[in-house]
Amino acid sequence: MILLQSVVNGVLLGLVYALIAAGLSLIFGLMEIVNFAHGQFLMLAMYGAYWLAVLYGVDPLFSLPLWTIVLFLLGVATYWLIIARVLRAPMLAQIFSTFGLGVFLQSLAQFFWSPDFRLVPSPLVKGRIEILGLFVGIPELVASLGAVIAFALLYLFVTRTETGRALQATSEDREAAALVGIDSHRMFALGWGIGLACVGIAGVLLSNFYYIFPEVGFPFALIAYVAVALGGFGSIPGAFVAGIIIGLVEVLSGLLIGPAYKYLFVFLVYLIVVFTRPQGLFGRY
Amino acid sequence: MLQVKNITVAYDDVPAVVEVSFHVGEGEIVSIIGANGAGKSTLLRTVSGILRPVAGEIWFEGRRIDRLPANQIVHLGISLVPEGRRIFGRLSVLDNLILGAYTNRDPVARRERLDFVFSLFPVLHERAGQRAGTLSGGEQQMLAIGRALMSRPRLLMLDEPSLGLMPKLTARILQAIQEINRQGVTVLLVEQRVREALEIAHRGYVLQTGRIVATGTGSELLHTDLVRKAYLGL
Repeated sequence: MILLQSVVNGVLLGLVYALIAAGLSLIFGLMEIVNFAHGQFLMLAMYGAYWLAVLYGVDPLFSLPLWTIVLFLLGVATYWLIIARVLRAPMLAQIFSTFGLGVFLQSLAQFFWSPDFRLVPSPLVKGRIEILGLFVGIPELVASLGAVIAFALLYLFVTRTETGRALQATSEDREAAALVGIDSHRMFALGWGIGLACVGIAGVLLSNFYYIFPEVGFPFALIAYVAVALGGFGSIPGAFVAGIIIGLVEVLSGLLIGPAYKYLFVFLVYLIVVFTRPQGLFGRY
Repeated sequence: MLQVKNITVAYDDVPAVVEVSFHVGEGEIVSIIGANGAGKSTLLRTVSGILRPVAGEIWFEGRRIDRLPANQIVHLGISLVPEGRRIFGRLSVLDNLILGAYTNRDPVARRERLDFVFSLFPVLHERAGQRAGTLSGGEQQMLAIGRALMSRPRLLMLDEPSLGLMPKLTARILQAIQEINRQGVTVLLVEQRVREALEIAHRGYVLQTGRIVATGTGSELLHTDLVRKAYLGL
């Protein structure tokens, strides 16, 4: 029973990981740039939900659409202000530009909001329910449901709309896409917008039950990198499956071996992938 | 229709094309022939806006286009079938074709273009739902041409459409190019298969190490010593 309970918890956690990883993977697949500030954007979304709840009494569930849009716009702005300038730069410059942005955002949060741990006071979704003898936290359940919905919408957008197909075409062959008239800069900006909107949704959903502090994004981002590597760089379905696998590995190794070692096993998975299947489960690189 | 005036194109300061001039008239098929590395692809990539010339001008229908990005040049009515086909392998054949009409979202016009492409290459109709990456080499080339036609270009440029195809398929592709030309589309063709390329061309240019060394009608060029010795091995 406790094993089954852990499996459920692992899947719920994994779905949130998957959404964070999807944003990362989308951006990488489009332009081979890793967003090292991904975790910090997650942190910003969590603080955003927190402050709206504390200052104006808006529950994170209701501020979710707002922060999704804000993070989308932040993504577009990040692309035009920073990424577009390093697109042809050496890889090291690209790494430092997003890494530096992450350090900057984290320091900013520390400066304005102090390193204190905070919790959203009495969110709408709280408590837990019992289903068939299993206990499921309602905030966790809501978070994973939200992640699934966001994932489904992302998938439909990418595969069913003309703009989504243009995004896929750009990701596959930038030059050939330009030759049919697709403006790759617009697609890149859109990719950053969607990528950060994903992480924004995840952040707001997490703020319902997770401590909020300036470094909160870091472990999530680290796990998202593992998920992206496991699922295959640039693959959105890959990020989905990999997120769940990692959630399961984390919770099950915590249960069976000890909570202190759970990340050890997550990164062991990463090493195994790198050594045996570097392109990942659904990868193309 | 297209005037290329004294363009020089360089990769990292190494010139690939030096002071090349040529023109393509409305309704023509013009072939540019030359050996591997002579700069043929560079020329087409420059006209299509992927590369920028370091000197010279390119004019299309009275407009200077050498400073425009590739995605805007398509809007003007120039379409390139790139070397190596460059189809979107993970998308379906139909999605590839629809993306070819990205510049024109009018569904009626798209339907009409699609019908034209399918009549030209019926095999694409049969395989419309298939992933483009699973097509054979010849079918991929047809798809690449079809995709380029979807934007309703007035000038169609083809970069080595015969690359990697067996002779029978090459003939089929060249036949299609002539058919497209009869429909009123001007064609600029770059080929290593010199004889075939000159046979279907109204005019041709010979490019050697980045410079144009000969020009004339297709049959004139086929009978010059230069072409006979250097490219036909006669």
